[in-house]
Amino acid sequence: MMRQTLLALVLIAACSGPRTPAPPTKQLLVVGYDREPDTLNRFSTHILEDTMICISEGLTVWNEKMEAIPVLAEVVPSPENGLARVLDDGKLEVTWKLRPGVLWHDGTPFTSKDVAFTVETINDPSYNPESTEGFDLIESVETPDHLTAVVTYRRIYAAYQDQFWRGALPRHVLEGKDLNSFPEYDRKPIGTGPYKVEEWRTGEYLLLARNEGYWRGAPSIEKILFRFLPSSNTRMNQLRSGEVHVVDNVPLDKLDEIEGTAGVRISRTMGNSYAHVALNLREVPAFRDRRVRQAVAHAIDRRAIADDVLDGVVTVVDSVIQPMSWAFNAGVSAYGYDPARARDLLREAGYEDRDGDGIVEKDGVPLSFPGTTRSGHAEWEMVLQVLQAQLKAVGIGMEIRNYEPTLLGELWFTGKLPFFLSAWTLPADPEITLFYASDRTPPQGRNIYYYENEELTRLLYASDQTIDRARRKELLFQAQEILAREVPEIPLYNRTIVSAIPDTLRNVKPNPTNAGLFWNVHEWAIEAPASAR
Amino acid sequence: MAAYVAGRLLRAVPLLFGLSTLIFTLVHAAPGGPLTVYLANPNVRPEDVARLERLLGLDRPLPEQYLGWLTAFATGDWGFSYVDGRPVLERVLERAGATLELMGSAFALALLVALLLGSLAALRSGGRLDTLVSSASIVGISLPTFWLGLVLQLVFAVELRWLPTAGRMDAGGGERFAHLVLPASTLASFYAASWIRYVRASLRATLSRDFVRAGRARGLSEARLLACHSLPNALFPLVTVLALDFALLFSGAVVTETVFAWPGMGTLLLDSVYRRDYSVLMAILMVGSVAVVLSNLAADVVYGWLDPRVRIARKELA
Repeated sequence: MMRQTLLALVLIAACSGPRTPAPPTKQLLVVGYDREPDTLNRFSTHILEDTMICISEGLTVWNEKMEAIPVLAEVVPSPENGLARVLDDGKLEVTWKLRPGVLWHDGTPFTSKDVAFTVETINDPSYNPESTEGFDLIESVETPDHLTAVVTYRRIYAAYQDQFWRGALPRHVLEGKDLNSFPEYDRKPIGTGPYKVEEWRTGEYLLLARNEGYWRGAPSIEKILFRFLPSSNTRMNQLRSGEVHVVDNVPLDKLDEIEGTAGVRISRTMGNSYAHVALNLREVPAFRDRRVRQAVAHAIDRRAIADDVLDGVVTVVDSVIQPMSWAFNAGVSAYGYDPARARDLLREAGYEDRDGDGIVEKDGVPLSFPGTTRSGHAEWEMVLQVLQAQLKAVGIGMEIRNYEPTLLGELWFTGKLPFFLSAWTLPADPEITLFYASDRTPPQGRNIYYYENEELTRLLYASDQTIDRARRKELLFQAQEILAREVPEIPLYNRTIVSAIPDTLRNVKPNPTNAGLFWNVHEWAIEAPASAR
Repeated sequence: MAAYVAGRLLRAVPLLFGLSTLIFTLVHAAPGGPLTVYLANPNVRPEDVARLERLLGLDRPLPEQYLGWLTAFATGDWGFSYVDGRPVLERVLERAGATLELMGSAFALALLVALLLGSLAALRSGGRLDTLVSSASIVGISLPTFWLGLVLQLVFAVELRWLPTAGRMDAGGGERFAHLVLPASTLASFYAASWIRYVRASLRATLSRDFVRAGRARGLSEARLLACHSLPNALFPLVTVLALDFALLFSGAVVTETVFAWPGMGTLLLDSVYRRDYSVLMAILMVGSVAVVLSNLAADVVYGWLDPRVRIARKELA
């Protein structure tokens, strides 16, 4: 009996033959996504812009060149168009002209009252939004008419253009509700975007259906399915089997596996993010000597890491501001691979290998420290091993000690990692004060180097206090040069965003910011494959 | 029997209380907390984190947090998730079905395979089939679950394309059975392999006992002898193993669910560990503890029910 049943099962399996997963069509596009959102309220979380940006739109968005362009606003306010101006008392007034004819998913018009309500809600102490940055500087929001919101800041806030990149909250739905526990909105938000939530199966997928009444016209693709696939192996396997069509942020170590997959093209875009090594001056006293930091920089062969370890997918960078930014300084000091110079610098700083153990020392203390990166991040684990060997070659000892993400986060942002390989993803507005000003050490900021430089700090704060872009650029150029020369942090390479996209998918414009791949999803279209035409 | 079960259940209460203290301490001893995820975002300032801590009650002393949690948990209030603010009970219940489906089918599959192959090996003891089955069971026990899962994906989903790679269903609910095959087989492999060895050893011992010989002498057919006499007797020791392993199956489910993006309690547990979602973590670990206690009890009860000698011994002890 058992045998018959088994035989029958095998026969059924064999007869059903290979499955042919549906290719991407106008009806359905399937995305292999690495995690599940905790909420779709854009103000409650910082992750998963990809899914949220399909549903909720900002007043502005950053395009593929990282320029702020208007979405729900008619124009991006600036001093040039007179919509951003510094008042006599030093306050900043920004006038947002909203686009007429925009409707929320339920058909209610989107107005300036929604913008005012959003500011009010974010600043309400009983709501815990993920961040109140900028909002807490807002003194008032006037709404002279349905399509104008005049926002007054107590002082100059340089990143004002990005204030409403997360869009606005629908007043008619949320007024009087407790947003901390309003799962109806968190799981099925009302937005103005090209897609609406059709179904969210926890742990499985999020299905979006197009907004037929979208203000720019209904998008071409009817449904987008985000499948939650946390394991990168599984994600790549689904891409190869054709069960998912799009995978964004492909880990670099998986690139080989998916290259050549039928019907899939690989896009590589520079991200507004860079891998670097942070030198902690508090934890390793030797790093307080600039010559030692410079020696470390000269000892690292970044070209070899980019070309040999990471197969030329990434680009070596020297500045902390990335090339797509208007504030990028391409002419900063650079430290080429020069082990002889590294050894000289160490000697000048008093470090020599007197006991012949291969590690230099000063006053009997060897120049040796633990090096850390996130465990499980194959790319960084590999790079850290290379760094270990390169440092060893000039007599610097580094013992690898990696940690899982949560523990790492704790050590990272309390400034306890002596030599740390990681990446910063920068805001589109080049406000880098948080990372390098002397008074922004943890917990006040991200100066995890404990690096102090008065001149640098002055330049950074001055840049935050002006809305004149030319002036800001000048200040930030000088700041970048100081950072490049002083190297509290050694930039390694720009983080390339690798996306796997179907051959037949048109108008995809990968974006360097965390607006992500889906920022222009309303323009996407599937071209019928050649055979079907 | 009822008194025995009630006594055992009563004794489980202090055990579970002790476990909850231990788990709570361990969970909170791990560095980081539910808000660590925010630290990675430069837009979130220390003031924001402090504000969130206050709002979520994470700034209160640990014993106070524990007592608060314990009294609420004991009265059926499992609290809210730190990650998405939804009720913990709701989050756990929506995942429980998928895990039970996976564990149940893996358990049934493993048992079926173990009975079939274990019996065959015992009947052909010393033969080529026996060697083959025994070797296969060693391989089955040795293969890491995540590796086996990935290999099965590559072979049956990517190359042959017979089955879906991962997930529990297609959007809209289609192909439930096809989605179950690979994860259930992966999870079942270890247990099938280990149970085969029990079935084989136990059946071999039973087959050489006097009552089997007597049955054969009375002219019972080999099939009847196996199905009605040898196998039921040989399975006594297996019952204990099965009951104990059922709770352990959950630990295998954590890995399997991750590889196959199966939306069960295993993936929720792992996610909650990474995000330090204390309330969800506590709930799942307590559910797990209760399951272990209950499956131990079930093993004893079933054993007594199957074997009158145990029942009599218990009565005498009482």
